[in-house]
Amino acid sequence: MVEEIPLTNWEIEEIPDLDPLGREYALYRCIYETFIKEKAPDIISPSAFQDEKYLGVSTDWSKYSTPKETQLREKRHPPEKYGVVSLKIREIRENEVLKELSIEHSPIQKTASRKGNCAHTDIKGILKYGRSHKKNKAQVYLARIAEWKINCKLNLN
Amino acid sequence: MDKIYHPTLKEIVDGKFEYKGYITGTIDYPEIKEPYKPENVENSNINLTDDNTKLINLYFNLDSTKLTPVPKLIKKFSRKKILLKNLQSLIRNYKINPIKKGYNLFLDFLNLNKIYRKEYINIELINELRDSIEILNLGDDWDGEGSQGYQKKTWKNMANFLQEMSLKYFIDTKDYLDSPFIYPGSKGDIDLHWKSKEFELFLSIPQSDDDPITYYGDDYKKNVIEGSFEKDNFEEILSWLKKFL
Repeated sequence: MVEEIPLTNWEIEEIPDLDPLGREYALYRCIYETFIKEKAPDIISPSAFQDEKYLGVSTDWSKYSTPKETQLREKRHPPEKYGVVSLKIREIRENEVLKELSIEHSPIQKTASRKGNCAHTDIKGILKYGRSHKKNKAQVYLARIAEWKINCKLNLN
Repeated sequence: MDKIYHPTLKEIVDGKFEYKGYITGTIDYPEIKEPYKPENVENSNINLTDDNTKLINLYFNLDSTKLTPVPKLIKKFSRKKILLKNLQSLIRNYKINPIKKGYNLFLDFLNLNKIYRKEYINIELINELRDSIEILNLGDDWDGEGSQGYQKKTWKNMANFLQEMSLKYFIDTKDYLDSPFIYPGSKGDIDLHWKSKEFELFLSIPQSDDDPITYYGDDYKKNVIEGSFEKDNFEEILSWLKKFL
């Protein structure tokens, strides 16, 4: 397959805990409806934090995205089938269980056929544990840090 | 796309529609004894609730029998000398649900294990198992992040695991095992998740028979359980669950 010519040159940035005004930076992640139970829509499933290809858990950095923009970026299914959670970057880094994970800005460059995503950021390392209880533990802790920003079953829009 | 018509309960009772699906609701007749599987209904689950009513699921399939099972169901109930004008008077808060793709696997599981004879399985668990069949309809790359699809074998292993856990829990406590949430997991695994104000437990049922079940749980304080085990060796997990359920 021929690699498309990038139309942007978004640089990879270091991600600090706080913005210049001292506000917390966050990562937004879409949660597909399969992970939102009708009878307990407030519960954030640990299973929603997966890293299938060892590329990282895909998120958007709040410097360049809002929760709504993150939701609208989903193309696999209609955006309304997704909720969006927010994870404070400082809380991931300060958490004893999650300290082995790394947060890496990984912008997707725009091409003729792709919109691109300057906000794209990966949480890397969750699968370096392999198939072990440490992976389960990291998933549980990520879910505990996460907060709903968009969840139609909770009337959060 | 074809519009799916969902018949009313009366239309099903009158046998006007060929319809494959199930009814859920609450039944008010304590005279109906467990176990109970109405004739021509593929399966049923009944649990006694705290207020002495019974939750009921009836799975019926008009496609295969070309008969009208619901009138037979009424006949069966009538033989129990319950005066019924129609099913509507029998089941409160009923909901008619279509059977979706893959549900035959769920019905096979119920029938193979004669679940309708089992008093130890929480109807909430059966409902969660039924809904979890949807996981099998998620093909490769269903999330756009490269996740693989799920195998029937993994679902069966998960369902059998929960059934065996429920039995042991019931023997030990004379109570139902609370249903976990069932989610699609990583690499074809299926995940189970219990979460309450007191504790959280998260398990992954492996796709490969060579892999163990992995788990992590805690009480949000220092009471932690973590590790892995072969599927039949769930004693430690069960003992831990008993502290909180």
